[in-house]
Amino acid sequence: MNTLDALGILAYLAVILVIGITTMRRIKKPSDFAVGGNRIIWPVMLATLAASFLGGGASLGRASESFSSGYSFMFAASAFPIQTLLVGYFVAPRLKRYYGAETLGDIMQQHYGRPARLITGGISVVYCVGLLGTQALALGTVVNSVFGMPTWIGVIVGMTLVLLYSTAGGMWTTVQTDVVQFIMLGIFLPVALIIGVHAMGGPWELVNQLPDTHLSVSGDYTPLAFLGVFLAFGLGEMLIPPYAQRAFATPDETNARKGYVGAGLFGFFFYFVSASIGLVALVRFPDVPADQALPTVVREVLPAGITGLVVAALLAVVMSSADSYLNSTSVVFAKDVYTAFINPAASERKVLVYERCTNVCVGVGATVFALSVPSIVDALMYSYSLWAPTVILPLFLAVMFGLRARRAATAAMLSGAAATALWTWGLAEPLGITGLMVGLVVNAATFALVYLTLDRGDRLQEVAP
Amino acid sequence: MIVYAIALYLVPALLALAASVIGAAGLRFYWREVRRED
Repeated sequence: MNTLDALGILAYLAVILVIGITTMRRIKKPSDFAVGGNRIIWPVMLATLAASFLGGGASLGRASESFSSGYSFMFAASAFPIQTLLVGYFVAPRLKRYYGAETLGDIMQQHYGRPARLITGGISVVYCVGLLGTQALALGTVVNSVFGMPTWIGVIVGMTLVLLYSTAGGMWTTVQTDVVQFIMLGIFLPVALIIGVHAMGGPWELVNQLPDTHLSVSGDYTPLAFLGVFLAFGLGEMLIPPYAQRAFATPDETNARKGYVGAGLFGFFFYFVSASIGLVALVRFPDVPADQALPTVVREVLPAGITGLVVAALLAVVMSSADSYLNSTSVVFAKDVYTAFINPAASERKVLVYERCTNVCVGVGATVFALSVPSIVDALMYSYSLWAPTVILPLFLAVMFGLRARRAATAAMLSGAAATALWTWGLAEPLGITGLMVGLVVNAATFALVYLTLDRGDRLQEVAP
Repeated sequence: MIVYAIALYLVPALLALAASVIGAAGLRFYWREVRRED
């Protein structure tokens, strides 16, 4: 790491700050903070969505897994970009039919009543705070493994910057900084792979030195284990608040569809790039710990100048996800909890102030948890396995088929969450069957049973937000 | 094996190209919005 590299990193941080300052004056009302005034065209939507879901896991995590077990984990995890593509084509455009909607809670209330909104809002907040905590830790990991500095420096510096621009400019700033971060991660991580492969003597040399198991689709996974990972990635983050919020932020269905589908395609190829960097590390530095695979290639293989830009790209990967989770937490809390249940008569100005205060509190809280009590972040991440077995099926039935079923949805959400929690933490996932699988089955069965016995013909009509 | 060998150069090159084109469109949107505001 020399002066040129340091300049590259500083330039990136400066650009992010300038964009944050220049866009903050656009925020005049809560809808600007939440959905950027519904003006996000599809290339911007694609960039901001991809930058949001490509975080520490898609970069450092994917490289680490391929270092240990080859491309098989990448193939199992590819369920995520595949579902993004499908959701983008079939579901995301329909979200634009809910005029004025800013959160999934708006949709859930319209179809299933206020209890469904509260459950969706509650799970969304816990889920996003957990994800934010993991990204804060990932910032520390990047700084620690590349610069050798203590983890806390990366967490505090990175999160302070994210907190500053996301509090000031909300969705507008988050989206605009995401575009720059998308350019960084989309250009410089692929460049790192090309340089790494070239340094190995070309792709043939690399492929020939890898064990056969590292190139197979299923690797050492049993079919059930592969299915477990596939389902977790396919459903675990399906239409979570920050992604849905980006669809709401587009001006129409066409922009929502193009942006969402494009981001899914981009994500698929990005996974391949990250995983391949892990394999370069395996052949070149077989003795490093798996979680150091990507940082080691960045540190040891890349030439001066490029190293700084790739480190900036790694910071961009993590920061762009952190800002999205932070913004979503504030918006969901303000809309689905504060204005829906605590103070429905709040003025627009008051809601905006409330969103900004929540942003600061959540950002500071996640940073403190990440630094001092990482087990709290782990605990919050339990909500990862709760999202799909509670929200996804009722949401899908509402958006795709216009179903209205207050009791069925509430019962299905609660029973899905309870079954997942019991199977995962009470019984420790016996028979190799994951809690998510059990939760999904219970969620679907409860919905069907209650709908057919109690809710059929229910004509719940609540005022659209 | 041949698929991986080709993909190891082709995929990152195409990804970087796509990111450049989409990013440029995104930045153009940003400048237009900033100018509109001014």
